[in-house]
Amino acid sequence: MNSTKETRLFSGFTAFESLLPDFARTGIFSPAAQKYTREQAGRLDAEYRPTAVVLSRREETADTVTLKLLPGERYPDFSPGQHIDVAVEIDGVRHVRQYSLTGIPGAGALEITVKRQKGGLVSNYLLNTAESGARIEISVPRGEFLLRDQPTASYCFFSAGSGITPVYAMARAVLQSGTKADVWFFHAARSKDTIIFRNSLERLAFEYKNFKPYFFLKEGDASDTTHRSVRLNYAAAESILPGDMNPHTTQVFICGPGAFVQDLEGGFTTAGFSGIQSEYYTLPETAAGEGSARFIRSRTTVKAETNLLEAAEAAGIQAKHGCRRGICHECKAHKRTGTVKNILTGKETSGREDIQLCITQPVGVVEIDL
Amino acid sequence: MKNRKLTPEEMNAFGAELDALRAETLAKVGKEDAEYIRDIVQLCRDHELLGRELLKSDGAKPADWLRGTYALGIAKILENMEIGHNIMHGQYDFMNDPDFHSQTYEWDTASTSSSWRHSHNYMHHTYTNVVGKDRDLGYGILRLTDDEPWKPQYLAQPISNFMLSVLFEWGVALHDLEAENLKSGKKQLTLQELKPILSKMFSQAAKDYVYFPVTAGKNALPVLFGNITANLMRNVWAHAIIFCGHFTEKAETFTVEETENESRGAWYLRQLRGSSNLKGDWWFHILTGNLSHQIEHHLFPDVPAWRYAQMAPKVQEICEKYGQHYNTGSFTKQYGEVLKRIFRYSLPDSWFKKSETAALSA
Repeated sequence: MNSTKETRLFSGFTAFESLLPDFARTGIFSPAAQKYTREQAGRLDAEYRPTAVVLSRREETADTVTLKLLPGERYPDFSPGQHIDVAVEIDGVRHVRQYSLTGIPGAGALEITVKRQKGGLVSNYLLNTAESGARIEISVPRGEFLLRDQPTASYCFFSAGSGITPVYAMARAVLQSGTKADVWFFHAARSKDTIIFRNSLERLAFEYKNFKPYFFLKEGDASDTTHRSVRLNYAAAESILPGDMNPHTTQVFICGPGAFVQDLEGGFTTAGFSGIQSEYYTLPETAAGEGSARFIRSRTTVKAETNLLEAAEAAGIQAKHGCRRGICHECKAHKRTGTVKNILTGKETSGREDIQLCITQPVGVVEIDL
Repeated sequence: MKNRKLTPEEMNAFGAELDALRAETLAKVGKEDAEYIRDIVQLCRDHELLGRELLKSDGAKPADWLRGTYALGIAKILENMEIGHNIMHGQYDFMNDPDFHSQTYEWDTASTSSSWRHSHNYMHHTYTNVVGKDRDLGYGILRLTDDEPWKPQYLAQPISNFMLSVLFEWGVALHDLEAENLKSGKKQLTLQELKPILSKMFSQAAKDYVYFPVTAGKNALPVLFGNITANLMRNVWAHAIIFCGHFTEKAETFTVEETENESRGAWYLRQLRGSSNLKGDWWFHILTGNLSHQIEHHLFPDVPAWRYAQMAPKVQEICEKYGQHYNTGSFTKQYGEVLKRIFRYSLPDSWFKKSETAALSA
């Protein structure tokens, strides 16, 4: 599937390359891709652009498939909530997408659950070409969306659509660990048939009395109590959750589109909860910024209303980018001067620093090394 | 062929035709280009691994040392010319692959990717052949036009050119520091600027002259000499090709005044008039990083270089239509003119006044 070629003469390329000290990695051994692979794996002999073999496919819903993947021998373990980058090359252009690992850690094989997005380039390419025996390029497990090892009385998992993938893995892991804590699971979907992992969730509810799943469907049945036909937001959650939850012993996880996450995050923050973990599937709506960016190398200055990545692209710069939502760090660039606001956290930072272009908005004028 | 003076309308039409050619070519950029650059990288990788391995295991045997050094030299030439230079121009940025992106590529030579992109992509390509602004005109040490007044130090020019050739990667590394402006006080040096440059120079030397020899065990010396020679091969080759691009006899220079309020057509014209091509076979074009198509490169720096050969016939057609000279020739002819130019300007102008005025009025 991929055209990342291995050298014909020496299959020992990875051996030669992995032994090179950092300062010797110039030219075709440029640090670019290797660097983050090594950092993430924490090992010197991390594979360059690891690949995995597709073992099997399993249909979850009409438009969602779980792919079982077998990575190489030295592939590191993952923690529930983490994801992998899957890279494919379509017509010469490299596209990378993040997929949460939905399998059980330590099982040997990895599982990712891919939803066919309408008009989606990578999801369709993957689902159309990934058959048993195919090889795809993946990354080591990445992500900070993790369960915290601390005394917990309640877990609250919120998700919408395909945002269920990481929280499903986390909820299952929590339950299987034998915890006595309440595990609340709120999920929004279009209809009963589009709930990914529906059967598994029903089995978990049957097996674990502390598992409390609630579904919020667009096309719901008014008579079905566990499948409501209201919108899932903080107000709806608040009406179900006990009023006496202790913020210090509650872990909250939210995963889905920007507005969905923003609403829940805002609600919980106001209610006194901190350390809420969020994974944005799309960026939240932000007010149009009034700042502008001066791109030093390209000698252009543009207004940056949405974010700096789009500003760079408007200025004609084919900036390096990846997920475009603050997760993968591909768009990281160097800001020389000026103040920026992080779209996800609202935090403002100034001065000379590396920033993720896709989630920053300039406040005033900034100078970027692009 | 003498260049026809163009009216403003013709100038605009000239620019428009070249713009159209560029758009037409960029529309085709995609899978083919990605496959091409991957193939070239693979070729380079094979040569580098073969070369370094041969030097390490059999470098003590003269025949193998020659083969190993040659392979490594070819790898370095490919990496410098066809791969590094073109990637850093952003030609392969469309792939969005960190291995081929101008923002993350760090080429295998003493100069940093960052300072190169400033002095070359920006300064040289914007102010091409503009006296006083394009510092590639002589690299601050050679006199190549009569815009620069003669000084006795230029008598040593053929020697400094030879030294520049042999030590080209180090000259380029220091190029962005603007030594001649530091001396005159026009520019201040900051530690921030100097640090990455010195760091890269140091680590490149450590890579080829310490790390590889030391890890070669008994063949440390053959590896050391092999690496020195391979770098020398790349330096001399790059210097020669680059000089052929702008310092042939008819390559023109321009004044700052001439380029004021330059229209797009006029910019294209300056790029054309300041550049010269080299004729050759497909393998020659690859080894020069397609700088054998210096004209096309200067007209279209962000188009993947392997496409210049396709674009050349159309460019020549357009030049003929507008009565402009398309400077091309064999390597011997063009390089001969470059050497002649270096010698000519190493001597005072007064020696040549009579014959030159005669030639001008002819």
